[in-house]
Formats: sequence, structure tokens, C-alpha cells
Amino acid sequence: MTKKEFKNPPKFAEWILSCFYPDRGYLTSVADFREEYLEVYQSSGPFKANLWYWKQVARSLPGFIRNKGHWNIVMIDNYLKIAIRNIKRNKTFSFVNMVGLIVGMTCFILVVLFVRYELSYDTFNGKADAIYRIYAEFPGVEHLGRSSFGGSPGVMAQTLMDELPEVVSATKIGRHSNTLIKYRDKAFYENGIYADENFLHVFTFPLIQGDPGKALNDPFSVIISQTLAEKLFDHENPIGKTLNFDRQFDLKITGILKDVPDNSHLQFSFMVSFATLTVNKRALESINHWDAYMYFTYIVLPENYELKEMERKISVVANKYAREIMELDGTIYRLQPLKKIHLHSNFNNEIAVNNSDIKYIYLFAVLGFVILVIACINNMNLTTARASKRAKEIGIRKVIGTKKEQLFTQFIIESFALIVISSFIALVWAGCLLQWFRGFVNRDIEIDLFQNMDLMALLVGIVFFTGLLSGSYPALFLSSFRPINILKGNYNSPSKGTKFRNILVITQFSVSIILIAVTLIVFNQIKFMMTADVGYKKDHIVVLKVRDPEARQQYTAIKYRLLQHKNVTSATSSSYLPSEVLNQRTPTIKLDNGQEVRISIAEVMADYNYLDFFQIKLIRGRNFSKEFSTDEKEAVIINETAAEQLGWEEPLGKDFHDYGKVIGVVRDFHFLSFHHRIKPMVFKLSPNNNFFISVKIKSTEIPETIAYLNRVFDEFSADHPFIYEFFDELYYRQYQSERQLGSLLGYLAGLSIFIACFGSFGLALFEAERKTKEIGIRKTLGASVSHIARMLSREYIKLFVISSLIAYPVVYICMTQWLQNYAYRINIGWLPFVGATVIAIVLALLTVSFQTLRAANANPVDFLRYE
Amino acid sequence: MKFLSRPEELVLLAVWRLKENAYCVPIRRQLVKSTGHDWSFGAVYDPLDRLEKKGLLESYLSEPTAKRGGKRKRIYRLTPSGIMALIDIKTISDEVWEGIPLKSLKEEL
Repeated sequence: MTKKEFKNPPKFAEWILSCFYPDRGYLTSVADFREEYLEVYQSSGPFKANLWYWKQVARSLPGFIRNKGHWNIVMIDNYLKIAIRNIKRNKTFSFVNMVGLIVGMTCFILVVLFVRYELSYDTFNGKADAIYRIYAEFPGVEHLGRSSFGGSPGVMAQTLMDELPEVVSATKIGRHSNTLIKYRDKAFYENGIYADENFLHVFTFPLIQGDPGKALNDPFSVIISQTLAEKLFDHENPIGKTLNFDRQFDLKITGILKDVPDNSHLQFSFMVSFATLTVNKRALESINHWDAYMYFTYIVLPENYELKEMERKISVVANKYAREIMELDGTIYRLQPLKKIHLHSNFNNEIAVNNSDIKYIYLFAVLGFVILVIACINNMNLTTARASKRAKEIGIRKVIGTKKEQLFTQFIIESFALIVISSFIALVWAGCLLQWFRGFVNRDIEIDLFQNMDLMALLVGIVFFTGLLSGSYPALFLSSFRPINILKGNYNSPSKGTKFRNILVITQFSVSIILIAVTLIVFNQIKFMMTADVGYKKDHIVVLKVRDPEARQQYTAIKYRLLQHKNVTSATSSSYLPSEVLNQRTPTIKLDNGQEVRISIAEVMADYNYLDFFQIKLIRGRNFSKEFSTDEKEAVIINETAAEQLGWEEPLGKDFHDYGKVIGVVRDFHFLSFHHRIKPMVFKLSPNNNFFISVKIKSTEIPETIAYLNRVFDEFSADHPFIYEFFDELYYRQYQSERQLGSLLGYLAGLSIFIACFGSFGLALFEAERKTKEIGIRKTLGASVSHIARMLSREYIKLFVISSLIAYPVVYICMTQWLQNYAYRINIGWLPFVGATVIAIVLALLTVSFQTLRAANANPVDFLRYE
Repeated sequence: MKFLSRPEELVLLAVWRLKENAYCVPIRRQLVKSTGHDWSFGAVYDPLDRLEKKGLLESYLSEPTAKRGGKRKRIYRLTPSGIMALIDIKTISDEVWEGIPLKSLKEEL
């Protein structure tokens, strides 16, 4: 061994030793050990040396405990005793303090659970860090505000495997949702996927039965989930059984899948082998087309592979096979890490709606934290406000010889005692509220402390954090009293700590006012979106979804049958409802000046009476009519925006691509949510073969009418379950995320103001107690009750004014930003601001006034006599 | 003067013996060699600290060496009162042991 090869002892052991032997900053003692270690290492090798080193650690332990630990333990015992006594003695104080802490911590624990769950998406996959999804970006096609597609061509996976050796593995999947699965007399609608033979190697979805290497190899084989298997087969072994899919295919079960975890962005109850798809000639064509971005490709890359580099290589490969398409569409292929899909991806054509947004997660986490901080502030304020009561104890302790650090420890421990008790109660509360909370965030969250050590550690971390945050300032404050002043008896420095306390109170109320104002504004916007004139009617309309292609063809007959009922006033069919027209066409249209442009336009296939049915106003020309036999082939109706964008002063009679001639123009209506500007749109006449049948019903006997609709539906499409919805509910659901945000903010605003009020109640309690003498003297000199009450409340009004001044700009900036998300939005106005302040003041004064009035009403003799 | 404990005595003597090289590692080796017991580092630090507090030893830091992971050594040396103490110990124990040969003690076993 050359002299330069120094071996180091185990790091952890060395760290322990450095704790045992604090050596005035030079760590010479640890270096002593290291030198000796080297000696042993050279003479007896690494194993013996490490053993020796650990032995040293073990031998140092008893001495350490004897020297350092023992007295500390005795003192901690004493501190705890004092802490418990104090909690017991001041019941009001402890109660006020703990309620705040419990509420804050419960809230934070739930938030942590939720955030943790959201971040856990797809992490159960063994290769989670190495899997990437390929998605396609189309610069310049920003319709609907999104220019990326979650999908990619079906040939992608195999081509990349053939062309790029660095791609470890690749798999493609396709949608197979809303599939009717039949086994003998049982039939269910299920969502599933097509998956190729690599799928089970790339992703970690364990099979209970079946061979993952073979189960998806052959055409017409299917793997079903455990739950589905239990639903379909009672006690039989499902393997080898044949299921009927969509009344078209018979597929053989080759495996049983353990149910897909809830925190997977892929959700499916069955997997059909991709080979099944390729048997169908038309499907095979769509797979091999480079411009059909309808499949989903996931690739596995080596560790730390440069993504940009891979993206470049993919586009090289794509250009090699489909140069023309790449140029025409302007496609750019990009990679997205698997773990980011759930929170960061909201593209067109996602395999499943990722109804989460990292922004909301951040918001949630920050707000949860803020609530916790408000609770901590309560603890800080109440503890320091009570300082005068502890002053004598501190003085005596100091005189006897307690060091400042020891007092600091004592008060920190007192905070911790309170917080540990509170956190246990908070944990129980969180457990009780979990059921409700799951429904609220729509996630299947569990508290399983003993199986998740990290969660346990997290909770301990929260306790420590809360303890330090809320305990350190009071501990510092209390331990710095000068004993001489205290014991001389002139501890009555009312201003001491008041300033800082006021800053804390201002923080609390600023946060509360911000939250209340924000909530009010969000509610205003939601109310606006719910009640604004959208340009069509949405009341008393039942929407039926026709999944069965054969039934769609029989629309005329269905309509005839529907209208026979006395409560059905009218019916229409369409490819889209007026609230949500999602498809986009890009026809080429000749302008007046002879120039041809491609316009991105929303297209709706509609029945003759569609416009009348939804009361969409026609401002020019005529509606579709049966009197014109040509309407079905070559007539379109466009909206104002379309006419305007095409620069048509007189749109009637203009050629609209090969769709036909424009026969009418409708007034603009909001066919997308208020997030989006109204875009060009076109109606084409096509009564049959539409997905939606809308039925207008009378508002009486609704259940009977629905039952009738069901009967009619079953006459035409017995195999398919009857699915209906009320149009207004469907409309409101568009704003579900806003409403969720609204109620979330509402709850948090409520909690924060609750905790803050509770805190000020406690403060007022001590304030009044401290001013006892002053109040007594004032009263004997003739002050009235209202005068005293005003005097005690004045301070708070001042704090509120300052809090409001801080809160307003924050709210204004944030909410202006937030409202940018909406193409149609409210003016913020001044009402939410004033409203928030008034709500906060009223609530706080109500809680405080209880205390101030009691103080003001008391008999002055009682106060002054004790002198 | 106050009597020193036995470990303190041994350590003090070891420091005197080692002169310029009196830091913990050789001190410990010296003690292990002369007593035959495996002294832990803690057992050496303790008397060293106490002796320093009593003013019999003083310490300074050497330059860092690579062998010790770039850390310094804390080197001890005797103060005049430390030397006084050694002289006292020597005198007292010589006096106490006066005329007692090791052989006669062993015979009594």
C-alpha cells in the first residue's frame, strides 16, 4: 500500500463519534480515531479496521450518556412536569392554543397526504424513472389553447426499436374504452386498452394468473383484471374462457391482472393483445400511418440519457419514414417522463383525462402550510402574551443558576409537549375526516402509518417543524428576561413583545383577508359562468348518449317514438352539444379576393331542429329546412365569428369548401367553456348517425318520463345500457375544477379566519387581564362600558386596517393573473375587498367582544381591592 | 496540593515522556503498552481535559496532516505546575514505597 492511499472509516460511525466528542471546532478527537483506524487498517485489513472503529463507537456511548445525557434527562423530566402542570392550570389558554394547533395540523396532515398521493402517480412501476412517453407537438395549431397531442403513430414503437439500439424497450397501446363485455348472461361496460407484447415488460402490472411473456402475443387474447374476473365468473377459473367484446369479437382470456392501482395514469380493466387490432385491415392501416396520432408510445431509455438527444434521433427516424407528413403537419416529437404525465400533461387526445394540475398541487400545499403557520402564530402570541405570568418562575430559575440555553430548552419542550398532544388529536381527526376528504379530492387516499415509514417520518417531521416554528420565538423571548428586573417586582413592561405580536396578528389577518377575498372573487367568477347568457337554453333537457351504431341509424324512428309521450315536447340529434364542441376541421376556403385560406373551425352535425331546440338565434338567412332537398348535401350554417374571420360581409350563398353553400348565420354562442374565446364554427345537416339525442321534457313527472325514455331506448338498443344526463348538469360539470377550487378556498378561508379569531380571543383575554387596573381606575373615574369596550377594541381595528392594506394588492395581483385563464371574465371590483375586511372584522370583533365586554362590565372594586 | 487520580498520573507522565509528540494517539499507545489494558480514547480524553482544567497541562493545535484527513492534532505539554505535580508524585510515591521490595510482596501471594 502506497502512502497516499488513505482509507476513511465508515462515514456514519465517524459522524456519531463527532457528536460524542465535540472538540471545540477542530474535530481533533475524530482525527485521532481516524489515525488509529489507519493503523489498524494497514495491519489487519479493512474488515477488522471497521470492526475496531465501530467498537470504539460502542465504547464511547456509555461515557457520553453519563457525561451529557444523564443530567439532561433529569431536567427534561422536570420540564415536562412543569409543562403538564402549566397546561392543566391554564385551561382556557391551553384550550385556545390547542384548538388552533389541532385544526391547523389536521388540515396540514390532510394536505400532505393528498400531495403525497398526487406525487406518487406511476411510481409503482419498477422502471418508472426510465419510461418516457412520446407525444407530438404541432406548432401553430393552437386550437383550444393546446398544441400538443398525447398520442403518436402506431408504428412508432417498433420503428424506434429497429432503428435505435439505445432504446431499451418500447411499447404501444391503443384505446379500447366503453366496451361492452359479455359472458353468457352478464354484460358490462368496461374501459380497457390494446397493449402489445412488450407492455408487461415495460410497465409493472403483475399478473395473478397467466404468463406475462406470452399472454399478449396472439391475436384475440385478452387479460382481464381481478375485479372484472370476479364480476363475470363466480367460482369458475376464467383462464381459457371466451368473452364477447362489443358484439363483434370473441376473445380468449389468457391472464388475470392484479387490479390497476388508483395512482396510475393508465386505468383499465382489461388488455386486449395488440395483434387483435392488426387482424383488422382498416385498423392495420391506421397503425401504419404516420399521421394517425391515435396510439400511445412509451419507451424505456438507459439511465441519464439526454432527452434532447433522443428527441432529435426520433425526429430523424420519423423523417426517414415519413418526410412528407412531418413537413405537412410540422410535427415535433417530444418525450415526457412517465412520472410527470399525471400532473404536467393536459394535451389533446390524452389516453385518460389527467384531472390534476401541478399548479393546484402547489396551491394546495402552500395554503395548507399557511394554515399551519397561522396556528403556529397563535401559539407564539399566546405564549409570549402570557410571559408576565411566568416571569417569577424564570427569575427564580435564573437566580438558582439556570443558563439561558437551559431555559430555552425548557420552553421549547413546553411547546413540544403541547404540540405532541395536539398532533395526536390531529391525527385522530385526520383519520375521521379521511372518508369525507377522499370524496372531496376524489382520490383513494389511505393513512397507513405502519406500512409507510416515510409517512410516519413525515408526520414526526411536521411535529418537529411546528414545535420549532412556534416554540423558538417564545423560548427566546422568555429566556432573555433579566432576573434582577423580574425579582425586584417591576416586571410590567407592557410594550415588551407587543410589537412583534402585532406583526404576527397582522400576518394572520392579512392571510385570512387574502383568502376570503380570493374566495369571493372565485365564487363571483363561478357564478358568472353559471348564470351568464351563453346563447342557448339548457333547462329541462335530457341528453341520451347513443353508443350503438345501429341505433343511431334508426334515429327517425326513435324520435317518433319519443315524441309520443305527453311529457316529451321535442327531440333533436347532434354530434355535439352546444356546450362543448370539441372537434376541429381545417378546410380550405376561398375568400372574396380569390385567395385560399385554411381555417380552423369547429363542426357540428345537427338535426333540422337543432337551432330551435337549443334556441340558438339565427341572425341571417334561414335554418335547415325539409323543403330544400339539397340541404342535406350542400348547406351549412356558420356563426358570426366564422363570417367575420373570413371577411365575408354577405356570407349567404358563399361556397364553404366542399361542404356546400352558406345558408344562414347564427349569433355567436359559447360552444366552449368561458376559458376560450368564441371561435369559428359550422353546422352541417345530418340528422342520423349522431352520438347525442337531446330530449326536451316537461318539468313534471320527471322520473316517469325518464323511465319512458329508457323503455324507448331499450327497444332500439337492448344490449347497451341506457345512459342519460341532464344537460344543465353536464354544463355545470365543465366548471367542476373551478367549483372544486372554490370550495377548497372556502374551507381554507374559513379555517384560517377561525384560527385567527381564536388566537385573538386568547390575546384579548390576556390583554384585558393585564389592563385590569387601568380598566378599574377608568371606571371609577366615570368611564362607561361602551367606552372601555371601544378602548379595548380600538387596537384591533388598527391592526385590521393595516392587514387589509397588505392584503389588497396581493389579492388584486393574484386574481388578475388567475382571471387571465378566462376569455370571458368578471371585473374584480371593490366589493370582494371590502367584503373580506368586513367579514374578518365582524368575526374577530365578535369573538373578542365577549372578552372585552366582560372586562368592561366587571365591578372595578374587585380589581382595585387586591392591591 | 490535591492528589491526582491514577489515570491522571499515568497520562501526565505519558505526556512528559512523549515531549513534542504528545497528542492523543501516541499517549493512548503509551498507556496501552505500559499498563497492558486496552484504553479507550474516552478514557484518555477525560484525564487530559481534567488535567488541562487544573492547569497542569496546556495544549495547542498542530498543522493539519493528510494522514488525519486534513485535521489538526491537539498537542499537550506540561505547564510548570504540571512539572511540579510530577515532582510531587515522584517524591511521595518514592517515599511511600521506601524499603518495600517487589519480591517480598509477591511472596505473600
